[in-house]
Amino acid sequence: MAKPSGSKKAPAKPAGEEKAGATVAPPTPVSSNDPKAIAEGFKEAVKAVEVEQNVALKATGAKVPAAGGGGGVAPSLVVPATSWTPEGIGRAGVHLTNLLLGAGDFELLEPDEEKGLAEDVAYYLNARWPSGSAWEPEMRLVGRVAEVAGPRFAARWKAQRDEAARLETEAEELEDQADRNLGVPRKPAGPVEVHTMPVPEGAKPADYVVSRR
Amino acid sequence: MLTILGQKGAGKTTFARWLLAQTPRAVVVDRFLEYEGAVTGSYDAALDYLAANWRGQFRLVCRFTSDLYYREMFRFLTYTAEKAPTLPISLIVEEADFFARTHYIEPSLHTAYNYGRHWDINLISVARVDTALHRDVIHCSDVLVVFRTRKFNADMRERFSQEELQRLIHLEQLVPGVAPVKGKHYLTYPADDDPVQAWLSCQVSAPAGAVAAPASGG
Repeated sequence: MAKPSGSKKAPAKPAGEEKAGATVAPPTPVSSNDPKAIAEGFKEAVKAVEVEQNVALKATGAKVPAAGGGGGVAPSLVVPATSWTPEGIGRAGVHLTNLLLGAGDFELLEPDEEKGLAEDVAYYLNARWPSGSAWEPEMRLVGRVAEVAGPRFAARWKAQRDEAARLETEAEELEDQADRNLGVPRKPAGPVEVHTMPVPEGAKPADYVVSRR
Repeated sequence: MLTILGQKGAGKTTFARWLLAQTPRAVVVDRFLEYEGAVTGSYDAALDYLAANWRGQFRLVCRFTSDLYYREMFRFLTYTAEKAPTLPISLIVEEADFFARTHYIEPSLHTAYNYGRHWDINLISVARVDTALHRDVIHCSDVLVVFRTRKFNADMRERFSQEELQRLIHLEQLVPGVAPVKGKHYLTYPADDDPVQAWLSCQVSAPAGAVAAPASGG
């Protein structure tokens, strides 16, 4: 094992290194055989990483019994950790789903479907990624943005699809009619320009030319 | 060091919980609310508890919210066991594949697997067979305990014969207090090793009033 260095201050680590599994050395030299001093050193090291990485220490206020000198197992203290909630990540999942449904021109979720989806999204993430609940505030914000922007984006995309369909239909109809030779000109006749010129006296209509565009 | 494998619902955690009941000094990594003891989600409280009870009995169940705290907990155990040696400590890691994947294993936990025996650290790793568990976890294990499963990874195929693999498919689910109809709940590798005896022999003393062991196989 890479033993902790004896440096008095833990060196600052880049953000990516923490995610890559790097460990942090205790910042202060600890007594070689005092578990309490070692624990204090480890706690300080973790606090330094939390401050640097902006990982909130979940201070739950749990109290553990004092050293009992071998008096048996400590009693159970259930201290709930943070978790995903239907009101946070659940609603974000609902709004993102509605965004996708609206983009595909499907019917949006019903109220009971929204409730069930919100609960199941929170349950799934609590089961598979409980530690990620620290990111729930950010996901809640993403959900709110999706709730506001989703219908607008969906309406814009639908209007664009409808317009494209309408133009494509008109062009196809005109081409079909021209192919079937139903008497409708491929292009409507444009305006006719007549260039006038002084008509000589006694000139016949065939003596001057009318140009047509 | 024991590694307990099996499919979901086969009885891995039930067996590990029974072993935990025979363990006077244990730290449990429990991410899915399956164990009882001094439960905490606070890293500071966990360290304070361990430091206060370091030379006595304890049963700490860790449910942290970040991988950072688990990493540092593993490192604290190995570091303190080396610097302040005392009675054997047992570390039970549920869903061990979370920390020991195929191509990456937490360095501090890797240290515990490789060198924990020098510091009297006993390990139980619990994982599903179809998960990608790091090979060093199995290589460092003294006994491999396999419950009912239908999927076999390469490590299992190296250690079990075809007949044994077929038997694994039909093993019964471990239910506390219920004897298996077919006489077996799990198979072991090596076949003649008893994981219960191996685990108990590593403990200092069993607590009073230990319950009867589940029906063993192998």
